[in-house]
Amino acid sequence: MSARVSGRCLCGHVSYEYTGVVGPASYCHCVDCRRATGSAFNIGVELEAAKFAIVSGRTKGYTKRGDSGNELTRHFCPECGSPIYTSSPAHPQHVYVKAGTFDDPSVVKPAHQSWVDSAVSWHRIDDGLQAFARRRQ
Amino acid sequence: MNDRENLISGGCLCGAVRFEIERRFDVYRYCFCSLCRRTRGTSHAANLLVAPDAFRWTAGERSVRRYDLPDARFGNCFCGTCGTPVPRLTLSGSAVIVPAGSLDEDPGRRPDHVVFWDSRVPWLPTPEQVRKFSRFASE
Repeated sequence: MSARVSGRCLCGHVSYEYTGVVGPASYCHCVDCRRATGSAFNIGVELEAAKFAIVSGRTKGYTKRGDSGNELTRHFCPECGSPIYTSSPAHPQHVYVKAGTFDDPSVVKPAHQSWVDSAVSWHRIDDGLQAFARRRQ
Repeated sequence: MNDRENLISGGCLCGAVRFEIERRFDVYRYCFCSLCRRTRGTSHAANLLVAPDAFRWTAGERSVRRYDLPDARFGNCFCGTCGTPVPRLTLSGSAVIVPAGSLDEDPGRRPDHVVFWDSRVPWLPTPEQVRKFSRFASE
């Protein structure tokens, strides 16, 4: 089902809009996601790249090859540091928007967790969320 | 225990910013407020509160950028190159807030309470059995 959603960073410099299908939310425990969020795991929501638009401000990107072997670019607000979305040339049709940036958090639908083998001892997710030891199969 | 064993190191994703904390911290907690959600991009923050004299930058302090919300006791420090959250001295100067995910190793204990539980999102993974406070830990 198509939905109209919006989101922004903490300071409001960067905001985005999207009208389309809101895809699954993936919880990632990989080491890079842990560091990039400063938390136990990242939550990325899959959106169609062609329908995702930054409507104010500009993001800054940092590109690094992840444990999957794919290059990931993490896009953040250069003013306040809030992470906005991740993109990868391996999946050019999608962007993976950070769940915490949505203005309406109810659009986030948990689907699965990946890289569980790398999860920290202090926060594992044991409530039935489909789990993959490494990348999602 | 020698001095090095008493320290935990950490840093940002690109490696520009590095720091150390002493393995003594009073508070290790989750915060579910809407502001932490935006700065972390995920459901909540996991933070250690460290005394200022138990913290030091070891590399890249000049790469650290700081943003403070106007009229609010909240802000974010991050690496200007990769955007990763890094430790932030509170405005009062009483503590350094250290993102647990930026540490190189397990801090050796688990978060013991949650603040701003009333602001939690519906897609919260079940946290461990921790004390939950509607707003601040004293409430």
